[in-house]
Amino acid sequence: MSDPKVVGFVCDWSVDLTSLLDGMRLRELPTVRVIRVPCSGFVRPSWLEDALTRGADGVFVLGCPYGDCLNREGNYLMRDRVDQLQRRLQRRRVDPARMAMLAHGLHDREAFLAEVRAFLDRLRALAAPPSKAAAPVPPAAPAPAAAAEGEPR
Amino acid sequence: MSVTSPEPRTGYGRLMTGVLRGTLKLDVLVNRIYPSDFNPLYYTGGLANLFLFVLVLSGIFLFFYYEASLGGAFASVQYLTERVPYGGIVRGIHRYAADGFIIAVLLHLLRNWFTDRYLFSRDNPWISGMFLLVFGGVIGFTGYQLVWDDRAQALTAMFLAMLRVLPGGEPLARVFVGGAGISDGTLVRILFLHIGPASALYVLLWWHYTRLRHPKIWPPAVWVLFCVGVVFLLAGVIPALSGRPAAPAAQPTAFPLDVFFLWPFWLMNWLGAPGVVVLLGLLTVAGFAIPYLGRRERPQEMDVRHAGVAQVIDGNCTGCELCYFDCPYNAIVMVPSPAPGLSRAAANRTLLAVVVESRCVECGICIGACPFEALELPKFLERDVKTRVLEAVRA
Repeated sequence: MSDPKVVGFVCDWSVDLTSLLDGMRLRELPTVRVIRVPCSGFVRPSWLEDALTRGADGVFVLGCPYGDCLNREGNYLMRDRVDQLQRRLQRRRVDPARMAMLAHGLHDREAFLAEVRAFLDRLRALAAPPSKAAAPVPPAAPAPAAAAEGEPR
Repeated sequence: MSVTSPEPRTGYGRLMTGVLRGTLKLDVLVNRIYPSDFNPLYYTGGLANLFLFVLVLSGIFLFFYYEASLGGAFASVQYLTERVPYGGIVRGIHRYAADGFIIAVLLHLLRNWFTDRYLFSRDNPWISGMFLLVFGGVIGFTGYQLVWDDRAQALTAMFLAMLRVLPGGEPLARVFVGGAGISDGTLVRILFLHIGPASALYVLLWWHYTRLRHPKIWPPAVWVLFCVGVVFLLAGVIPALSGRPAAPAAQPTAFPLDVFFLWPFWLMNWLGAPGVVVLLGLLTVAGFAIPYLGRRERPQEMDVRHAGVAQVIDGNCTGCELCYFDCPYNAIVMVPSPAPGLSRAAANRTLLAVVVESRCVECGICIGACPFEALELPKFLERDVKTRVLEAVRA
């Protein structure tokens, strides 16, 4: 299977992507496209759903480290919203592993890339039809890594 | 593009960008030791509040033993330190918690300055914070005077010299000492100038918090225990003691210095009273002006991070209050709906969301909170985001 297509919403205050980006793509992981947003809390969960229905295999939101949101609560709120979305879409048989909330600071480029790679690995493991995530997808066997993000404290 | 994208900037912008990178680098190091929920640098405001709480409790204890008179002040403090059970410890706690307070406040100030947390309508907490700092400095200074030992006497003389530099300083000095010379009344005034501003700190704190939805006013429990423990330990190991009793004839030339509160008096060694007064004035004005004087980035460099004040789409708002609960700056208020909305979901609304523009920091958190497409950032519309999503998926 080809590399999963991923859309990422990235807070402009978090990881410094200037050296990592090639237009919208991440240079090292060209199937990952990035949309910059003013704060991770700006992302409407329906946009994540939208990206999935339009053919993305996975979506993630990247915010600043928990406790250090410039707008005080954006990343905590987004973590809860992604968690809600995961549960809501699970009822429609979309695997929660397709959505992730990440939190990294300005200097955490490597950690961010590593986490995106792990995210891509999980998507590959889903072995789902290449797109149409909103269509019934057999729920994958327990996605242990999916619990790592977006889980309430 | 990012917070630190390399673009031609002013020297100030480059400097502050470097400082921002450094501050966040420090966070990376601290986060390696503590999980980010326990990073003390994320709780500098809460730590300051904790120290203030310790100061108030110990201060109330000290107040009951203090006698505000020329003859009794020094003796009452000595009695408290030597005779009252644990009196010396409480005095030490009061002293070291004050240092902790100033350290936490300065860290809080620098961190919020260096990480751009004064932008847009966040200037309100900044101004109230500067008032808190100035009041804190005054309280610390009068606290050292209350002991009325030789250091207090020297401080008073130096402070009067500073007052006399100001225009109309002589009457001011008379007001401060309460007459032509230092008398019993002076110590009553100093006691009031210690406790009065300390009470005012809580009024200022109300101002400081009033635009924040969930202010982090208390650090995690482990840090509370740690800070209180350090203060107790210092109070026991290095007791806070008075110098020699003040005597009208004595002219002390040297005294132990608390760098956090008494540095202006130390600078008097070189600058003299006029120099220190000018320096303090400049520092205060500059501190208050930080949000207005210079920006790290020009508005066009901020790009998506400067997308305009959030706007409510009247026809779509259902009055569900979700944005009202999520806004971290209390910038959204719910008002009785003057007319039903246009969309089906909004037809039966009783409330309408209104953005208070003077409080909005353009973060867009309300946009993420709204499931009814009733909020937009003017320069980054939902339409733009959806176009980008399409681009991203098709590319």
